[in-house]
Amino acid sequence: MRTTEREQDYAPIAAELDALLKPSLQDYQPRTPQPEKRPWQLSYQVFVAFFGGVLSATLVAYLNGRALRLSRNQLLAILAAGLVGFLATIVVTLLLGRASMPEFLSPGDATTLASRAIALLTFLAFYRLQKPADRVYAFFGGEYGSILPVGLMAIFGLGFVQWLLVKMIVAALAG
Amino acid sequence: MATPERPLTLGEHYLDIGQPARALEIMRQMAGAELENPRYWYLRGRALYALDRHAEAAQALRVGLKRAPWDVQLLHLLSCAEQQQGNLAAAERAVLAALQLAPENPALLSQYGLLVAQGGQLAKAQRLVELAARLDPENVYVGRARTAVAYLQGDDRAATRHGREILTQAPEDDVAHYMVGAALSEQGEVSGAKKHFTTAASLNPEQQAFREAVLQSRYYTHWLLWPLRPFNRWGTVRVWMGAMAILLTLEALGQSRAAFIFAIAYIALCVYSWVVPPLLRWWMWRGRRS
Amino acid sequence: MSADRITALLQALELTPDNHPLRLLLAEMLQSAGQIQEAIQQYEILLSAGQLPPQSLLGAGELAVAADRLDLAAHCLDQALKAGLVDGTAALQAKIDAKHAEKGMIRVLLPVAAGPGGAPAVSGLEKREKVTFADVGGLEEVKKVIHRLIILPLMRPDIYWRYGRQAGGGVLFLGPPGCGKTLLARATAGECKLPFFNVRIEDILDPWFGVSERNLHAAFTEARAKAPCVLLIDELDALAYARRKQQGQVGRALVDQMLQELDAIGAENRQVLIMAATNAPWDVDEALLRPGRFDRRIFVPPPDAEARYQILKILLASLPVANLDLHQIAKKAELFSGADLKALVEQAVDQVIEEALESQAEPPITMKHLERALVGLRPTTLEWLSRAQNYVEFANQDERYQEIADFLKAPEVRSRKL
Repeated sequence: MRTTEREQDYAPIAAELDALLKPSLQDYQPRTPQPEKRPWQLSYQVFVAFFGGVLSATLVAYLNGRALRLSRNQLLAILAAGLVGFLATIVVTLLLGRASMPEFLSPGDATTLASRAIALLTFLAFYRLQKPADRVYAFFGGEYGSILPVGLMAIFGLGFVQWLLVKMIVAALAG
Repeated sequence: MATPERPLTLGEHYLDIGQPARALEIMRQMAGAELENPRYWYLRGRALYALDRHAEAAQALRVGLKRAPWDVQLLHLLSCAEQQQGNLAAAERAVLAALQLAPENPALLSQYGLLVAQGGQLAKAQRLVELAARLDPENVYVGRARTAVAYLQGDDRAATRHGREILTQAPEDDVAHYMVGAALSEQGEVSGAKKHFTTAASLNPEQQAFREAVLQSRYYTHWLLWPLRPFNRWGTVRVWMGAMAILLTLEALGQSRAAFIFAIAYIALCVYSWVVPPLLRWWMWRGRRS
Repeated sequence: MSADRITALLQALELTPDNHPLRLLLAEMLQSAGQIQEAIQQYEILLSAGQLPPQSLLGAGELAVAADRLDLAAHCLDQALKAGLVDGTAALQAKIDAKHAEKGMIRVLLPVAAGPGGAPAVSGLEKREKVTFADVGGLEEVKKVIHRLIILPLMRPDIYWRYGRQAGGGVLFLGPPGCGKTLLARATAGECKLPFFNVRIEDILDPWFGVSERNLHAAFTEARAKAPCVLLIDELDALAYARRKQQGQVGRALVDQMLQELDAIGAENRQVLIMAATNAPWDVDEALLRPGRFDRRIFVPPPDAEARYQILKILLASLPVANLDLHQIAKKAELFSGADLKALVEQAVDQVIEEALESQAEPPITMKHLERALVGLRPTTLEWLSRAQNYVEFANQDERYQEIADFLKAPEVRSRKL
């Protein structure tokens, strides 16, 4: 009786063990020690988003995601969130251009405020996608690289590109 | 009493009391037939691992495994040594070989769980540590692995809960205190985190991570940074968006004066957050080695 | 009738003195006849020759206790433990301990009677310490503390007893490695002119289950039997590592045994000065630092300038030197331990030997050699001080490291970035 009970207790564990004890890390490549390949601190990406906009934030998040070895689906999710954020920026710019604004808010200010808010919201999405992998990286003693070179390029480079693209698209749609 | 086992006993004792360099010295003096003993290679590997010489530790353990390929301890430690070097594939092979010999060993299951977690496979890691916990719920090592995996999944509440479960059995577990502190700080509870970090550091001041955590928590709970608590609690983005929302609402309600005062106060707070923290950090960390 | 038999046995032994079974029989007969001292004499001869059978050891020991021969009783007990006897050993130990307690503060150490079997039995751990404070350079303040806390109570127990203080007890020397803790402990024994027992982890640890604890107990028993004496436990952290940090079981059992020995249920450790030295006071089990055990702590810092001067003087005493200003070198060698100063002198000697080989002359050691050696050397105490600083900053809530904290505020320490 007892043996049967023990076998009954053991059977689910044994089945679970069979499933779990299959190798799944044999394709894992050790990380290279080069500083330029290291991920960046997640919290610094907020500055890129705030000052550079959605496209800047998307680029930085995508590159960081690759450094953190996010899965293909997660990287695609970052790009998709960036695309949604960019489209939202265009829509909001279009709408605010047509809407009557309160006295205290000029159209220019409102557009800037809105696009910054959208960039920050998009950053939150990027943050959630990167956070688990970032935690794993930091927990197992990973060191971070400096976001400054890429961050500045993204802010000024892609920030300008976004401004230009939004202006052109809004003009095309409005006109 | 001079028996072949005596140096190994002495070496193991030095390892148990945290003196791996002494243990290694003793083992260096051993020679001949003593080197055929797998226990020698295990202790040597343990000493080298404790000294952070992971590649040499792995080498020594492999020599031991040539003599005793069925030795679970050797395989377990080899897995840890390979993991420390970032060789997760080799670490996995070692731990799976050990699990073939002892499939229900909770420590091995936990080790494998942490390994796959490091490889980013958090779902599998969770299943492994939960299984280990079912097999041995009171094992501190299993508890630590469980806490770590919950933390890595971003489930800070679960991490806090599991960490506190360890502390009910082992109130002086420094690692558990540290992990609970980390989980609490992620939830914005800096005062609670500070208590646990302080305890961890007082139990083991030689761990740099613990010391750094205490200093960081002292920094974040410094009275000069009280005005910046909302940023710690809710994050910069949410605070900014909340401030913008309040400002726009006040303006929309025709309270221009209030909006103006609020805007000035918020800008002052932002300037404060740019100036005071770096100065405070410089003051608190002055004279310390990085 | 029994007297006749005893006489006959004595005569037989004169003819065959090596007939140990006969001697044992004689001892037993003497004991039965109430001739205790004579019986003890025979047992002693057998013990010295290593021919007292295990089954007779405890009986002989009890007889020795009754006759107030505690040294012999301790020896019998020791042999019984080594022979693996268990039953009766605790009872004999208790009787010996009780006799010690009866005897009170002043005790005259009687020499162990040497029988025809040979020289008196002397323990392997016991030494007669020749080092005194004169051999320890500097550290005058520490020597004063030792004199007040340790030596005077032993030398004038009558005064201290009147005020409720006892000699003996536990003293812990702590500080960086190579700064003279063990030397000071030995010098203390030398100053007290007491037998000195040095217990090290290598002497105690054994792979067989329970033997390590027995070895430790035997060391304490031996010391108690030879009281008043000094028992030095070097590297206390290795023998009594904090149980909460331990990974193995052997270490925990040793800590438990150590606590038992220190508590010794009563006053058995009176007249036994137990000193310990450690580089890692934070690794010593907390229970050992509580009142009644190692509650007197003496911090032995790196030698001060005067001490360094004295050490250099001693190290260079027999070497060819010229125009040395040792005060200057000592001033520059801040935080150097005694071992570091020895390394400094050795490096200077290496330079001089190289010069001697090149020039075929015998140049003396000069300031140039010492200063050159000083440039390349870093005090080994810095690593210890850096470690200690972490404990002082993060683990000193109960002020157990206060003397270290005070030392860390010294200018020569603060000027270094630890």
